[in-house]
Amino acid sequence: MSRKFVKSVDCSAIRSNRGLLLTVAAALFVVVIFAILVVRLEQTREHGESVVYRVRCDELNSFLDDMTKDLRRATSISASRALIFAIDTVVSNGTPLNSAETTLNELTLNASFRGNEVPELQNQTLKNWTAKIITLAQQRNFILNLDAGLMEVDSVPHTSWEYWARIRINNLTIRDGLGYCSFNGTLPRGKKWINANVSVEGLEDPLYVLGSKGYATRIIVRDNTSVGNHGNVSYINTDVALKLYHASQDGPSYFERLENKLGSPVDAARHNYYLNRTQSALADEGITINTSNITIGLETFVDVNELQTKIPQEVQPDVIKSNQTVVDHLFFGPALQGKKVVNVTNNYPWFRIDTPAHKDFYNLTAQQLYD
Amino acid sequence: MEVKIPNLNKRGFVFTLDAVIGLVIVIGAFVFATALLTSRSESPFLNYEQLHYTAEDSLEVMSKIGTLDDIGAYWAAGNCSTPTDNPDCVNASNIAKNSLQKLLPPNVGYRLTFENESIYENDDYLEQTNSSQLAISNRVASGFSKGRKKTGFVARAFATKISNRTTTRVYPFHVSGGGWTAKEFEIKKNFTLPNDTVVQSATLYVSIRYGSQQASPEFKELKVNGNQKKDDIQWLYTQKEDVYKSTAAFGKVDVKTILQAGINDVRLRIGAPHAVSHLHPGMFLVVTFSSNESLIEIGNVKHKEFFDYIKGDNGVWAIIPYFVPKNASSITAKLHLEGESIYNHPNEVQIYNHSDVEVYVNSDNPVFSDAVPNATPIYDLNLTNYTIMGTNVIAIYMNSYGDDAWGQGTTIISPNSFIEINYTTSQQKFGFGEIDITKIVEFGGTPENPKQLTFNLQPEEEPLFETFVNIAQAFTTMDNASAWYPGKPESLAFKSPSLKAVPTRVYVDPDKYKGNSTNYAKITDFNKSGDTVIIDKIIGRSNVEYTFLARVAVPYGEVFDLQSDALDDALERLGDRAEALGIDLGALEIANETVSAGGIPTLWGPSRFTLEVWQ
Repeated sequence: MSRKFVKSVDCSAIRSNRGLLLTVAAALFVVVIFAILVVRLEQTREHGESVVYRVRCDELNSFLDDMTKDLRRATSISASRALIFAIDTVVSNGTPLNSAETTLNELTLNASFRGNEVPELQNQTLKNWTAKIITLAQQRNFILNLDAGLMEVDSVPHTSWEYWARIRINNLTIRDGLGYCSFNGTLPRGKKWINANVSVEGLEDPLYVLGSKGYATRIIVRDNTSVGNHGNVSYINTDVALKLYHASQDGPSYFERLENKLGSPVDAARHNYYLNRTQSALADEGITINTSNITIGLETFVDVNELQTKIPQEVQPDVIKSNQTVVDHLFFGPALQGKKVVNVTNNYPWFRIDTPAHKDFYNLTAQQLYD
Repeated sequence: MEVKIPNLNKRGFVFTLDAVIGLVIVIGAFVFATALLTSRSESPFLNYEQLHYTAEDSLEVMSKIGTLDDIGAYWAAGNCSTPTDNPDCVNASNIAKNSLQKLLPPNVGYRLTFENESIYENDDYLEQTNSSQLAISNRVASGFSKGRKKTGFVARAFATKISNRTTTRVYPFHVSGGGWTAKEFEIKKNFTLPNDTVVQSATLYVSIRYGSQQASPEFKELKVNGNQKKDDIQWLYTQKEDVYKSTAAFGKVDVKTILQAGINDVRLRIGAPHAVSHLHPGMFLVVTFSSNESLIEIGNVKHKEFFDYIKGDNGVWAIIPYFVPKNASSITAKLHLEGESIYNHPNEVQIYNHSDVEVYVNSDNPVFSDAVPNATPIYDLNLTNYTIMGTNVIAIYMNSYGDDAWGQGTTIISPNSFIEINYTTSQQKFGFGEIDITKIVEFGGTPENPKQLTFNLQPEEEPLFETFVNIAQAFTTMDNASAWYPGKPESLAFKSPSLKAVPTRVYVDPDKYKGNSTNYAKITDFNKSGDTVIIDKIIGRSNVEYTFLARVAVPYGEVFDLQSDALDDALERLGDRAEALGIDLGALEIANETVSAGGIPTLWGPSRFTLEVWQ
């Protein structure tokens, strides 16, 4: 009997413990699930905020990159138009620029010439560009302090065939309208300038127009044959016939041509000035190079027959000197006689080349020259 | 309910089962929690982030490799609104399609727009209206404008007289004549046209007094380079006088086809046996020709002009003008005079109060006279001290002085005679690219005295380089010429110093005219008392001749898509400019003088490319 009682008590206890165990397990299960859900929801909320933050900041970053890229394009366009105006001013009026770089900076940045607005350049200005960029920024809920006054332009010869219109925006501030992120500093980020390339190929050579007193002109077309191969004079004949240009260390750069400067040696100081400017610009790009290894000049052979045809007789003595070398920057300078070149001068009786400078430059031999 | 446990083994089974059930629950909870915590979220933020980067990266790639530029260029050039408007639009759309299909995954829909116009849309996977998430990426791109090419051309043009500079020149005949009752007066003029001359027009104006009571046999010859032209003259004005029955006649004859490059000669023989046969003012040759040479004289001018061959019966006389422009300095003037068949008239001073040879310069008092000349006298006279600014008139009389004195037989002023003028002019030289342009304005209308011309000078015609009045007249006594403009009083430019001393060509100070203004020129014939001589008429063919230097050029114009359009525009503007100057552009050689520059960009925009990606 007592043994049965004991058995009965034990079974009751066991049944009670089992229910408790199941209850606790269920409760734990509910608690764990609830906790997980809470954590998961919190994670999701935080992640959402993080994504929005990242996307907005990425958009702002992309917008700045986009601005940088388009500013290069806009500057290239604006500078090209500015250059056309500068050329036109020189070749139409016969008045060289005092400083090509200063004039181009002003024209590119402000669309003005010596303080006067240039109507032809309106709607082509960086000011127009900034206004439209501000509109685009507003559409994307960015707050931008962009203004043409923050821009700085620096025009500098890069090679014989192109120049850099360098631009940067100082003290630029842009912030996301939601307040997630902002930028304050100089554009471009990580370098000094945005370099916009402006080609001079296909444009009029102002020096040729000035030198010919406005009666003749010439378009800059590059000779793709190295000057070193011109010992084969068929290339010189081609140059004369097609009025081609060569890169030249001593020849005036396009900037100097706008200033009616003749390069080295006649206007050596100005030529060296631009060489130093180019050296400095290259240094800004991390390129260290000696000025003796920089070529920004151009030269071409003057067609004396063309000048005799087009220039009135009264004016010809001011332009054409007897037996003058026909290398343009020397032809339009002080008297410097040249020698005839075998198989060139018989085609072009006026053709003369100075020696030794351009005899050597074009890799001609003494035997190919005669008086 | 009582649970019966049959034995201890069954109790163990129960415990084990409970443990297993509990364990299953715990493991299930653990697995569920683990799965929940480690499962990849299907959060809308994460999907959006993926879409955003997909859109950004795709647009960035298209921007970097230049695809966006190509698309924009085609879309703008085609002036597109939809992808199928024209081939340019199709090209733009195809480029966008090919790029985006490579860059974007297949399980998204997307659309590329340019300034809110759809270039390409792909909703194969899902239409945007059914999407739950949309990412938008933008790129700005300057240099595009709808309906315009990305780059264009500008052009300028300028006129030069290359190869064939067209010039109009007046070659006056010196007013001259024979002695009283000359049966024959002969003048032969040689003049030289540049060796490369191409004559475009040439008119010889004939202004003479000849004839008698007889049936005008006295007009004997007018030969140009040997060609007889006397019967080809179109007489424009004739006037007979009743006393001697001689005729003052003014006419013209076209000599274009018989002029030539190099030396030309014109020979005229007339007679007036009862009066004085002579030329009147207004006999000149107007030639328009093209040549490389310019006849403008500037700087240090050395002007040497040989006389016409002048032969008259019973004496001969000639009025020779020469000009010294305003502001000229270092002036010297020299006359070299040679006569032939000069008759040494005995006692002519006592008889006529004149010498056999007399030379007057700007005065009715002789600066030189020779009462005892030999038959072929040669004189060298320094006229510097008698020379004035403007028109100077030398009157040479050999065995003749008007109607008062004459000799006998043939008398000749040799063509070896010449006047030599040296001076330095500070007048404006050719400016940059300037060409010289000469214009002639005729007085027009009927013969009258005085005769006035009103004409306008364009603003571009200032400053004038040099100006003349060319006088065409029948009977002549003395003339003055004046010029002025509104606001200024009439200003005398020339006055005959003595009787009959009326040259065909009279210099007028250019400052007496004004650009961009009405101007006046007047010729008056008067007698020594200063009264207008009614019978003396100034003919409408008299003209004002002026030369100015101008640059006929236009600067670079607008940017055109096509080079031909830019060049056409430049030429049209050049034509307008020439028209404003009153220049016949067709008479100028402008070939190869248009300059165009290509690849000129325009700062349109910046425009906005938008890539929408949805899922």
